Amino acid sequence: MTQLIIQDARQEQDGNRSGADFCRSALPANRGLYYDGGWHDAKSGHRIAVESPATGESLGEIADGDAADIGAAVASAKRGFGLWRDVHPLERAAMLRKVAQIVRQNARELAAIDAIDCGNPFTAMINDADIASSQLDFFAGLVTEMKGHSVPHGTRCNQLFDT
Amino acid sequence: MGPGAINFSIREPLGVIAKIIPFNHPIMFSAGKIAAPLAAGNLVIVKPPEQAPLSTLRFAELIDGLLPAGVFNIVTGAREAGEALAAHRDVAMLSFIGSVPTGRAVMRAAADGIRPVLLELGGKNALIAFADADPSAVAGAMIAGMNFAWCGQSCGSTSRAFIHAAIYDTVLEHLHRGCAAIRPGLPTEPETKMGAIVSRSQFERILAMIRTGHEDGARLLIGGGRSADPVLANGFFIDPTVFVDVTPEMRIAREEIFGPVLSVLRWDDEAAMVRAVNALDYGLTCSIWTNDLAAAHRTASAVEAGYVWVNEVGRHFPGTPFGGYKQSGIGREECLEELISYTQEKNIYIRLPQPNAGKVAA
Repeated sequence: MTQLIIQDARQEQDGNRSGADFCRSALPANRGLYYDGGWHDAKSGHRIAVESPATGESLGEIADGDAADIGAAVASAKRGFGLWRDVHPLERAAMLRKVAQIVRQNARELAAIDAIDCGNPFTAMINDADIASSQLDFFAGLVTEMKGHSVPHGTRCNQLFDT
Repeated sequence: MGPGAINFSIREPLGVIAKIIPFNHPIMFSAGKIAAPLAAGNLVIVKPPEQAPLSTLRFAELIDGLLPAGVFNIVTGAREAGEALAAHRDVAMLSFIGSVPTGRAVMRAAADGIRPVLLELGGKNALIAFADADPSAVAGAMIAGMNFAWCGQSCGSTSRAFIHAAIYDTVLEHLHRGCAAIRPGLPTEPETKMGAIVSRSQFERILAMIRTGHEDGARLLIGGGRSADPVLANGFFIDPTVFVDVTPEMRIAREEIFGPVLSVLRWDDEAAMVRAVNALDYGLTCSIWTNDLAAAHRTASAVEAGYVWVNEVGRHFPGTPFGGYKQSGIGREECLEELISYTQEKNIYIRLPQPNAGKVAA
């Protein structure tokens, strides 16, 4: 049943498109660094060429990040920490499930990109995207399981440590 | 609980987590491996593989705006970007999937800041077939376990097959037939079952390892070089390659090739076979083929590997701990422990006010 729903969603998204043209059409428009909720060029302006290992054809360029970019990305992440850690666990889970759903619906497209970019076969890579979705769903279901312990004690103990 | 106090611990996120992703399964790792740290309330900075960064960028386009700013981040680049990320003092934990040498470098960087690591590193994993195993099923498992679809570029691939002498020749017949049916093709075509090697440097490394197989005296059963298909002339394609009569001291029996190269060893002394299986610093997976219950349990206990299959190969099962013994890694993934590894535990002791405190005893 679940499988059928997944198939239907894909049908709407990509139809049965495949092949090199579909793979090229799936490539991302943004080639920068993603942090602070947006896209940024590398501060140095440097870029790296990306090629398909199957044909040698150019797939464009990506930003070549360095320590300055890492610093900016880490700073943006640190700013987000206070907010994210205080999101209710079930809300975090709901967001992760949405991410899972987006990956599942776009599995053919993401598989197409991996096929042309890393050389792994398109059909097998659809399964890779599905595994990513199930990992997102799996850990979304575990948000309430990061539990601690309670320790029976009282106010007296045999040993007092003062470290 | 004991009177007058309550003591409990809670788990809290660590902060900014660096996720350094390998080239063999870009979207599976970029999208799937952020799940545990994010679920635990951490932020992630993903460093996608420089050889294959584009699906991670498309993933960010697709989920843009869904998570609060700063929760999910990507920094692309070459080695320098990875090193700067690993070295940054405000990164709370380093999580890396890839080779042992790079894992070692990540761990050194983590040591400078006394930071935890989660490492899933290489493997030179054994498939062990006993005399009672079905030769056809064993040959099928050897092929499936090699992950020829992605050219053996997988840390969990069973690239050393220890086959009992009683079934050795029959297994090789089945294996030859099975491998002959697998040919690389353009990865963008939906019917293709085996793709390309990710880069020229990996391609040349694999061809060099194939040369050492010849030099060390192994017998080539099939494959052994780049694909002859003219359609594939501009890419990095190597046919499924099997060396047989391999002995444990040969380089192709000891070093992770990370390519479509299977080394087959013959055994008839179980103790010597187990010693050879365990002789390497790797210890990620192991696949055992037998219907003898005692042999299966005995061998599953004896092998130094973190993930063991009996009469199965290659498959991962959600909720089961995947990770390596020895230099194949630290930590476990795909299970509750993965989530817990992205947390730190805080103990809280609360002394409760006593109802009779301050009163003079009668």
